[in-house]
This record gives sequence, C-alpha cells and structure tokens, in this order.
Amino acid sequence: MPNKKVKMMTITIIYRRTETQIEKPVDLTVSKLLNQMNLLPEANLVIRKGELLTEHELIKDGDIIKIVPVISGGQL
Amino acid sequence: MALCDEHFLTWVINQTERSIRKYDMFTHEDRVLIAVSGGKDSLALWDVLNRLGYQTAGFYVNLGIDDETAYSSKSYQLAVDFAQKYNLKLHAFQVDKTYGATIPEMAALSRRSKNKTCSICGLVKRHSFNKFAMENGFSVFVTGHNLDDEVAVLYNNTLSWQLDFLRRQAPVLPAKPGLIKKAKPFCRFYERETAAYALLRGIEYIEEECPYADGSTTIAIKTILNQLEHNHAGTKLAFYLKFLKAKPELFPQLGESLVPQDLLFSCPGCQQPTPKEGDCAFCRLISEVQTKKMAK
Repeated sequence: MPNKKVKMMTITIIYRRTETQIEKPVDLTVSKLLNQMNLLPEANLVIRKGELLTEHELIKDGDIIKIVPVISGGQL
Repeated sequence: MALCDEHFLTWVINQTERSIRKYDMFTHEDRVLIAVSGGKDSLALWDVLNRLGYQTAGFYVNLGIDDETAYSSKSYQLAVDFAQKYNLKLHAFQVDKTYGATIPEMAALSRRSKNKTCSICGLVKRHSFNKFAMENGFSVFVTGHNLDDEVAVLYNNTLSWQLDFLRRQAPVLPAKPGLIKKAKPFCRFYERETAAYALLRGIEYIEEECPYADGSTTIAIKTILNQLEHNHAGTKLAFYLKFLKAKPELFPQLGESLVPQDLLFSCPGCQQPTPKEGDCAFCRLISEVQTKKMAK
C-alpha cells in the first residue's frame, strides 16, 4: 500500500508575546490546535484577523493565529 | 456560546442588568465606584455599566509595580485611555505617595509570609477602595470579579473549611457602619466571556498578568477548575449557583447579619471596621513598613 501523503500548511502562532511558525496538517481545527499545545479552550481565546474563533473552526494555510490567555490571578 | 459578535455583546449587557436586579446590587439613583485595574474584567464592567446608563466613576490604585514589566504604568495608562475615550471620571491613588512604599517594597519589608505580595496588595486595595468610596459619597463599590474568580475562592475556602469566608461570599455584601456596600455584577460570567466582551468591543486592556501573580494559588486553582469544566461542561456555574442556593441552609442565621455587629470594632488608627480590638491589619502593616523603612 502506498503511503497517503498528508497535505501540510504553514501557520503563525502568537502566544505570550512569542511568534512561532509551524507546519500542521490541513484539517486543523481550533480545538485540535489548543489540544496539541496543551491549552484549554476554557482558559484561552483564539483570534484570527481580530475575530474570535470557535473551537470547531478550521485554521487555514497562512493564518496568523493569536492565542490570548484569559486567566488572571493574585488576591481575589 | 453560539452567538454572533453583535448578539454576544448585547447578551453580556442584558445579563449584567439581570444580575444587578436579581441580587439587588444598585439602581440608577446610586453613585457607583468601580475598582479599575486596567484589566479585561474591570474595563469591560465599566463599559457595560456606562452603556446601561448607571452613574459611574473609576478608582485606580497605582501599586508601584514598575520593574522591567512596567505593569503599573501600562495598566494605569490603559485605564486613563479608556476613561478619556468615554469621557468618564477616573480617580487615581498612588500607594507609595500616601504610605511611603510601593506594594513590592511593603512585601519586602513586611514579616507576613505566605503569598505575601498578593495578600498585602489585596489588603491595601480593600482599605483604599473603602476609604475613598466612604469619603466621597459613593453608595456602592463594584468589582469586576467573574465566575471563575468566585468559584476559585469558593473552592479554596471549601478545601480549608473557612466557614466565615464562605458565609460572607455573595454577589452583594450589604453596607455596614464604616463599610460601603459591595457588588460583583459579573459574578455569573465565565472569565473567557468577559475577555471576549473586551476584545469584541475593542477595549484595550493589559493582557500581561501581574508579575507577582505568577505561580499564585488562584491561578493553580483556576487551572484545576478549568480542567474539570473541560471534562464536565457547566461544573463551575453549578458549583457557584448551588452554593448560593444552599447558603441559607448552611448558615441559618445568615439573614440576621453577615458580620455580627458586636464583633466589629473600629480601628483607632483609621476608624475603619476591624474584627478585633486594636489596630486593624492594614494599620499594623503600614506601621511595620514605615518603622522598618525609617530604620534603614
């Protein structure tokens, strides 16, 4: 059986002031991305071009994705 | 939440109004003082209350956290920018100018131990907010505490069975002699909802966490609770709302008085209420810090 080649894409992730370019398979959803980064959707917002993305949205080739942590701490 | 941006913004405003009415927080006749930190919750709350037509003013406490992160300078500027944009009144208070030391300096000088920077910060802020609100004729003081904040406190106080703290946890704390009424209009919103509101509304807030909150108990607890929520959606809201519902049974004398009057003393130094006779915790802290600073 020939290996089925997975189509890849390049995306840019901005998280905690660090910008990283990564290669990912094209069927990447927001939920999958957060899971792969060990992040919970309850604690992070995912933004593309200033728009909030839901967990089920697909990330596209060339996207610049900003992940904003929402947890704040200190004395309550 | 499956709402488009516009409907989500409207939903947040309507739900805030519902909470204000449900818990009898305040009315349009009240002068409302908002604790403004420059963060998402307080600026989003100010935005919502302003859109609902309440009489509001902001109160910012400059903690003097100006290491390489420039946390206080940045957060203050964001609070100023917001107030200017909407033509709102922001009162600012600088801790070191009044008490002779910044919060990090107080933490370094004080003998308080566990999580002392955060606990000192909380103590100074609570005292300053109450003092300013009482002296300037505000009828209610509000904070941007959200559901995640409330659930983290509830979880922590339940783990250690802090009955007195549990008894007092509520969306509203009524006024007492020397203590202004306090309310938390965002207590039923998840933290990600208040952040989403701020982002969709285009409110610029300080995204960086306070450098002293890194590794704090609160963040550790919120992480555990978010994992629970992830596996069982609705856990946080149910924990909080069922607690509020169970309170009358857990604390049958709750209706009589949240803090028994005979247990409240007046601090001889600042005249604010204190649960024990003698100087309050705030005055003891300031006295300790100033004495040690002079001895240096």
